[in-house]
Amino acid sequence: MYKIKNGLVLLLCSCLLAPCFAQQYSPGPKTTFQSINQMGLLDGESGAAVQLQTINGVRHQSWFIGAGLGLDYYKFRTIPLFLDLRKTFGNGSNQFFLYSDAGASFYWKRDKDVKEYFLNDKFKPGLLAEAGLGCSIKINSGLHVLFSGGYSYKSVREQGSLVWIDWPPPGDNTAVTEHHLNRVVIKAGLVF
Amino acid sequence: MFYNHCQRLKYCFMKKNISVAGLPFFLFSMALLFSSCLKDHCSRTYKIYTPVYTKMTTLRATVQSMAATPVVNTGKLYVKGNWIFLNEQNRGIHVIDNSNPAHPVKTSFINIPGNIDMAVKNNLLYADLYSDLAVINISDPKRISVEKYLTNTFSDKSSDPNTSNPDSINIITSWASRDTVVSCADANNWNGCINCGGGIALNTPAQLYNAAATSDAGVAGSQARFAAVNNYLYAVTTSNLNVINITDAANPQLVQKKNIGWDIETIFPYNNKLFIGAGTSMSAYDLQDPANPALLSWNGHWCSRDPVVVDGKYAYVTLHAANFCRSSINELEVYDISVPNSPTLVKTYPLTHPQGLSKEGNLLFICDANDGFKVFDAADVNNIRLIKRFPVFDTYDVIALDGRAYVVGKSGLSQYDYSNLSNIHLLSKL
Repeated sequence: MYKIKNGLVLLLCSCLLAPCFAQQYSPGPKTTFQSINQMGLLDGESGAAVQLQTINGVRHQSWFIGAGLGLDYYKFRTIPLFLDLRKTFGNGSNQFFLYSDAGASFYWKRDKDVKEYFLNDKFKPGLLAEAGLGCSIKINSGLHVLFSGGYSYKSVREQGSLVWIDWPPPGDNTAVTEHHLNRVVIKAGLVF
Repeated sequence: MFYNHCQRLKYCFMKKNISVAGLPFFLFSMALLFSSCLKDHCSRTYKIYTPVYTKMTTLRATVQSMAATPVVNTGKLYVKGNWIFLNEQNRGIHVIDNSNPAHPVKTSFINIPGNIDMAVKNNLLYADLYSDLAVINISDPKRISVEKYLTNTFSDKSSDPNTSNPDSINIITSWASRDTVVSCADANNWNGCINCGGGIALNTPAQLYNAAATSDAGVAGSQARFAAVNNYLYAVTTSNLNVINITDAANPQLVQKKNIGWDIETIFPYNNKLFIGAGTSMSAYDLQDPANPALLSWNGHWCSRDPVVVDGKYAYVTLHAANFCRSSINELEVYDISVPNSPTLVKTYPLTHPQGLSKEGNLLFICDANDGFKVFDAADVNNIRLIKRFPVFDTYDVIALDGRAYVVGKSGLSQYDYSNLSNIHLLSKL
């Protein structure tokens, strides 16, 4: 039953994406500055959460590279800092693109966060990786609307100790917890 | 302009390419499809420690005097006459000839494995050797001889607390470690303390760091756990007060191990009383019956490290924030102990991170960690005033005696001359 349902959804999705591939080619300006500002919904085992991003960089023909900064509320509030690389296919008003992000994820404390460790609890930067596909819809020459979706990974490292330093054995009682968070993401945004 | 953009977007979706309007639906569908496939993972990396044991007989065989060695890892301090005894944590005791305080000379090093505390009476040194109390003749510090080992005096460090046979006592002398990764779920089943339990004999390293009270004994720092009072040696462990009869100084006899609470840290003898500093309290014991100290008073405080010294009708306690209980108290507390069984708090003074302290005359000396070594005028307990601060860091204990302050810190032993209040100055550093 699940297989049939999933198959139908995939088929439907394929049909919906088809127009993105069917646009006419029209070369754009050679190298331009672009700012991508988007909001996303993250969903995974830990529930759903919001993501905000701003990516600023340069487009050269069908390639775009930029640096991104954002907010990610999935399980932990983090500030992702990353590089974004994307390749656009087609040059019509609707374009299909693939993107990938890689960078670091910085923990930003919230009062409601429960500390894993009793002593010396510290968060360390983790990794951020994301890849997906999407479609860009031209509104006018200076404005596009983006819709995208894909897989997103972030890790958060938390270290500390649950025992006091006097407890035997003498030495390092520090433990490190690594949270590996796997999510799907769907995003909508604007490109200036 | 924004309105224009909205109009264009509407047009795009509704007229120009109606199928693109389904893209959000496609993405939402993808999320529905795959989000349940994705799992979060959590792993915890620990060091797992396993104890390395050494037989007590092997350890006893290593007790000997050696040539002077560099001071590396300073521990507690003890002064008797012209001699300074400086503990090298868990290794032994530096014997320092202090005939000339401006130029103290390291005479020898007494190798005593597991040693943290000491007391001296006449020519006999009482020192802990893991679970043993060693009685060492130091008439000639370069050629010491062991008079006696009192087996299992500090039985919390022994693998077999009930035996008198050193061959059957195993001591944890080191730890082997290895990194281990477990899932967070498994780690939480152990309450996070992967190294707790396992039936190992605990080798709690005593807290670093009092004043003895008899003319034939010496003077210890405020952080000492040994106190020699007349014919008795009192030694605290984390939960016990060990009473040892030293009437026959070379042949001490354990009288009793009295349970006095938990997280006991320091002992300070004064005027036929013992003042005990613990992680959450200060208590006083009466020595009218020296073989059976009787509780006089108990004052609780929030979890902090707290050596205590007494002078006249006042007790001075420094509290510093303890890591393990997240306390943030760093202060000096002054108690009126004129009614011994009912001490009353007179006043508190904020400090940075105070540790050891000492008092002589109107002067109060406090090791205030990274805020330096401080000298206060404590003539009026309601108005204790800082009169001198030395920017030396990481000091943790002090003995003030006959115009000289012996200050010990991680960087070594320093001596200050305060015989002239207008010219308190550094005499020497070792």
